[in-house]
Amino acid sequence: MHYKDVIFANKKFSFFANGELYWPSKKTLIISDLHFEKGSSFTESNQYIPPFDTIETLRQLSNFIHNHPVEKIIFLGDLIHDKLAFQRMTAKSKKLFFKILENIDCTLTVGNHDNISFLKDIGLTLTDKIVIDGICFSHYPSIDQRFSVFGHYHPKVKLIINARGIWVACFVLNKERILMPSYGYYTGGLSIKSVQIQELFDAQYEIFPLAKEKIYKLSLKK
Amino acid sequence: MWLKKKGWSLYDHQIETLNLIKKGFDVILHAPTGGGKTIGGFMPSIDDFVNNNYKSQEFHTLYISPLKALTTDVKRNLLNPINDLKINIKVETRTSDTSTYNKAMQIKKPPNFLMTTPESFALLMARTDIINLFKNLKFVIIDELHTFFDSKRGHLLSLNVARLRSIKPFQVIGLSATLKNTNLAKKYLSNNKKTKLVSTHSKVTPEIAILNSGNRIPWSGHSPRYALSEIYSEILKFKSSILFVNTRAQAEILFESLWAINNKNRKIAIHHGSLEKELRKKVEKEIVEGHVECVVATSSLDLGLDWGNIDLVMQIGAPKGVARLVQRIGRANHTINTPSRAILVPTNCFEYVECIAAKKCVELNFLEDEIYSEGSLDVLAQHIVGVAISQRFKKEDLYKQIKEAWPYRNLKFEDFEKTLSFVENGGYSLQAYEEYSRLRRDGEYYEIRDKSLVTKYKMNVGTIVEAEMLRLRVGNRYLGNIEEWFISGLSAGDTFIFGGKRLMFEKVIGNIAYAKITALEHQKIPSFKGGNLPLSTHLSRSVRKIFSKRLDAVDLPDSLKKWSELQTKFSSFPKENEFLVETFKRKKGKQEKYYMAVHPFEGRNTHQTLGFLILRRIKKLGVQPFGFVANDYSILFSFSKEIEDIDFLFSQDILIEDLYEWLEETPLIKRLFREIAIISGLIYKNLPGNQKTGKQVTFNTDLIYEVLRKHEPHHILLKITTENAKKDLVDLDRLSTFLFRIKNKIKINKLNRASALAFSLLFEYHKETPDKNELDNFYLEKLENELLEEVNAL
Repeated sequence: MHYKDVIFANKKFSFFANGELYWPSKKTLIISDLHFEKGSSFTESNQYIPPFDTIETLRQLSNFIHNHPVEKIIFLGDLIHDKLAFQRMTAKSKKLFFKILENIDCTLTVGNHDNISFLKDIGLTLTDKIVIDGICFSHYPSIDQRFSVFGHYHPKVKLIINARGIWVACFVLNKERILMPSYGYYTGGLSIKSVQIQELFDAQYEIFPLAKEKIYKLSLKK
Repeated sequence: MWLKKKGWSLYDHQIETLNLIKKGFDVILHAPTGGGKTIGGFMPSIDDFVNNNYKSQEFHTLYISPLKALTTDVKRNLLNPINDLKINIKVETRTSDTSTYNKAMQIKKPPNFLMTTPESFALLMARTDIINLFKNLKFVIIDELHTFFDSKRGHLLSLNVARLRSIKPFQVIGLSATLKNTNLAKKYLSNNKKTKLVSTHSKVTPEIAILNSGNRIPWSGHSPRYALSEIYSEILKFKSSILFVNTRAQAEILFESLWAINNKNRKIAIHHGSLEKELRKKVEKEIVEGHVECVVATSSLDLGLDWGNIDLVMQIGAPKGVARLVQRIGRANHTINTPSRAILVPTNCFEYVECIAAKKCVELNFLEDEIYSEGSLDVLAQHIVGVAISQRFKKEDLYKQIKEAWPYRNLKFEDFEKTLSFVENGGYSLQAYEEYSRLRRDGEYYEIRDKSLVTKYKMNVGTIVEAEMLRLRVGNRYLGNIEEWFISGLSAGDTFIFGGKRLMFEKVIGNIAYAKITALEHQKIPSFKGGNLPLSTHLSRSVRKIFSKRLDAVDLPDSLKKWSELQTKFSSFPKENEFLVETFKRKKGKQEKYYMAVHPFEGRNTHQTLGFLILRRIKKLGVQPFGFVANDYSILFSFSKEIEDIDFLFSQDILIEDLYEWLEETPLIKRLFREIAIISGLIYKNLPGNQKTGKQVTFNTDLIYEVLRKHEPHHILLKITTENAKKDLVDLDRLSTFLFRIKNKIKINKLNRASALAFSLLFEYHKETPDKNELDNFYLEKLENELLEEVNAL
């Protein structure tokens, strides 16, 4: 799988083309905004989207774990799309997910979609944030911390190819912050040019667009 | 009889229609524009009304037209005779423009004659009270009948007509000005043998001329610039004119160029489908009232409105089809006994030949056969929801009823069941959504689970799915809709033209694109998709015929003679049924490029597909291809070294095999899938509450397509997509007919340079290389001159 190494807070990290953030020295995998069962949530408005997003997301995750040493996973929030997500999840998806929870130390930094009462007692550590070696991992940006890794915004960027714009998900990086792309199969996104993201990344930053199983790097200055 | 009392002069076809209806037949009335066709269609209704002296407030006649504007127009035309006769017939229109209040009143106190569109008709049919509502319905009139044979709108209409028939029998009258295949029309209309045809021909043939320009006709490109001043002087000669072009981009360019030389201050307007509705209506009104003297228009003005006052129609660019040209020419002079006058303006040498062919076909009244299509299952899915909202139903009964609709006569029970199961809850073999179903079963009956479905159905009914559009806002006004992908390629500060205005792009918020008026030169023209109609098979055959005679037989302007001479001197024209392949190489700097130009004359769509397939073949031969371009007549390939086995490239069986492989990969199929996902109701474009925020639910259908292919390859939506793609994307029939036709008839000319025929594509090839400076006409002229010099030096 295609990836790019970056140095963040004096540590080596890797950005993977599917949206995984990997910390090799800690054998830790960080992924954000999985939004389990987003597809099936549309039944509420009588839209029967193919219910395969959760299994796709989980297979991608299993595949990563299979190919890299992973001792710890941090889910950066919005693991489930709504409180009934587990109820709608297929047996196959559940089996795959619980297998991961059984074998690997998993932490969820709770996000706005995560309903805690439905996530208790399944083998997940629930917390607001987790700090490792001075780096704070949380769903929302931790602006009071020196180094913050967060999700929530589902950043995307417009690449202009043959005079046509296509939107792709991306990592956003500067000296103090990493904004994670969303990992869920059906999840949409917010432009990195939007005020919410721009507020967090003033001055110099880099973006890492994910396109067709590859990851690229663009430096941007304001 | 009431008609005679009034002293009207009647056409024979009107009386014949009336008599046949009285005998109980369904009737197709085929008469030229301006021939009293509409009144003829309503004659039986009025007659029935007079004879039976109806008073009650009940639906008596339903008139369905593909155009909203026609409903209003026909109503106005009908009120004259009705008022003349002093009979009390209430006539109203019901379209998406009708207010909710008026719609409610129409149900309470129904008008006798109701003018509506297929979509509004579908909505009416989804009501729970239709049995009572239509219990005294006598007639259904379908206008512009030929527009329904090959469209999803036509499928939707046929389903609802069939359903209404099962509720209350009535007689149908179909109206059309351009019909070739009358048998097909009979079948579509009523699928029974009780249909009679009333046909009358215009006694005059239109007067068609090809513009005779003093300037050289370009070898390539699509710009009428060479003839601009001549176009302008024609406009000045006539009181009112329509200038038809083929794409919206051409409309914008021509409109701007005409105003730049408009020193006589003619009132010139522009009309195309992307403009805001109010702006279009304003222009239409001004044409009728004579305030606009000339309008530059796309197919948005092809159909409908009766304007008796248009003196001249000009077709700028290739006509593409004979029936289409006849329709357009018919916009001039809407009276039956005076000839319509039209001038054709080809924009390049190929188009000149096409114009000759088209002119001949029109004069001989040699039209294309209408195409029809099998009922599409995405439309069926939408219809089933409508039925369920209206009444509960039994599976077998519904199946029988649907098969009564002619486009669905071959529907397999298995496909029907799959579609029904899709409507219920997506139809996944996983059965994930059973408890959230749209439909509920009560014994043998199917019914809707809850009323919330009604609003969603109403907000999303219809079969016309446009590309993702943004509304374009300038100051505090909306100018129209512009394609999302075009805007996505712009950065703030880029300039473009739209609706004849030079604009500077600012930003996008939600689904609104903001721009402001600018004086800066424009750089970009939105090139709207769907504007490019392919050359019809019929016309392409005629064009081939003309070429095979080496153009000697026809009277040509000098610049075309030169073009033709060059082609004959250095290569040749393809003989009838011969397939011409030309190969040559060109040096650009130190690099040598090999080219292969082929001339199938089968239309752009077929060429695009063929192009992709041949490209794959070239790769298989171990040659590195650089790419290809295609237009309506030819395809040009370029690659790294000479190809020996050209016959292998075009071998029929292998190509069709490749086709299926290619189809699954092409991004075009995803666009098609999006349309199907929306029509079938997999996703809803509009949901209650979203309209206020201006936010549309734009679920990424590409993702859905991919996940479906992976997990549920036999899903009904994928089946529909493949079926639609075979027909609309690649025109499989046309492609295989072509491959069969050229078998053993390939003629290879190895040349030292590009031939005159190949030249047009050589230009387009360079245009599509992303060097912006090469884009303008200056470049075209330069390249042409270079080539001419090259030839003259010999």
